[in-house]
Amino acid sequence: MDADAQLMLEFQRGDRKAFEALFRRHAKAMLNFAYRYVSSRAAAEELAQDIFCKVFEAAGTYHPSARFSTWLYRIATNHCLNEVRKGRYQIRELSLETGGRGEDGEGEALHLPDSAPHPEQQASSNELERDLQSSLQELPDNQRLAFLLLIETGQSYDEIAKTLKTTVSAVKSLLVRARTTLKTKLGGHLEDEHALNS
Amino acid sequence: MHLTPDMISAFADGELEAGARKSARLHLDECAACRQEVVRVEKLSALFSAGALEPDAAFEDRVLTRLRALPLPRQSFWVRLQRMPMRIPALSALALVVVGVGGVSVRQHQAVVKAEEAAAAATAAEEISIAERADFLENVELLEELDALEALDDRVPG
Repeated sequence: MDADAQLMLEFQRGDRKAFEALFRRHAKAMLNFAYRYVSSRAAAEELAQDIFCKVFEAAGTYHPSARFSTWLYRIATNHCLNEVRKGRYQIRELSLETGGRGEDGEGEALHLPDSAPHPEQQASSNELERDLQSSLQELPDNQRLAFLLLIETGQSYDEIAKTLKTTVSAVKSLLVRARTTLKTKLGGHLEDEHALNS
Repeated sequence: MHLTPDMISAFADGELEAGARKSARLHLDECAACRQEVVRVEKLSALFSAGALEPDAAFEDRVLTRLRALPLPRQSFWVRLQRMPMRIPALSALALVVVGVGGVSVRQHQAVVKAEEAAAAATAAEEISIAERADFLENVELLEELDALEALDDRVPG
């Protein structure tokens, strides 16, 4: 039994600290999964928070025959598909000139990697981040989810298939189609040697 | 012949089986176009990974505060049942207990009925025994004589 499953069993026996440990183990991956799904840090934090609460409340249904991350992200993907479609977690428009703030001054700062010391690189990072998020938003839900599960959670094709309740063959197809679209939209950044260093 | 997009994607993700991976490597050693395509797939993933967020203390505090306010969830019945050790023998034992209790109940009822019947029979037998011992039957003739004697008293003045 892996560490996550052990913690879940302890939580099911009433140990709250065990769930808090699970949260800390998966907080970063879930936050980034949520961020890439809704393109806003504030919305992503709210989305991730709601997902962890759902997982907490559903803990009674968890059985260690399933890998914890598969179960966790199944709840996450269902929540994303149901709630984001309803318009919750509104995506804010990102502005290059104002660094991500709207014209009325409200909004949020565009997230930038910490290692961007030069103005030219900072502007380039702004543009890259905006292009990454907009290209993801153009993907159909299932392609976006399959791609994000791969790059943000480290799940294998088999685990992604179980999370999305589909086949490995379907996952391969989703990933190929997602990558084809993303490579087309992000082609310039793929050729830019500095893109990965900003 | 180039690698298919599926194979390039699976190769970049480490999802090709050993034999297919070996064949792909041999092809990539010879094919610059496919090598470049693998590099583009890997770079694409790296672009997204480079901008990863770090959860800050405020986010963690908000989530933990909210989690601590939630009541502990209940386990579903089936999860509790599945966690029973030796669950198959336990279920069999449970079934036997249920059948056994049912069987005992039937036997108890039968015993009660028999006891009632026996009691009734005993009561009847006792009544017959009493009746057989009673000498009142012998006294019936005496009572008849008494009636006759009373009748004589009515006829004799005095």
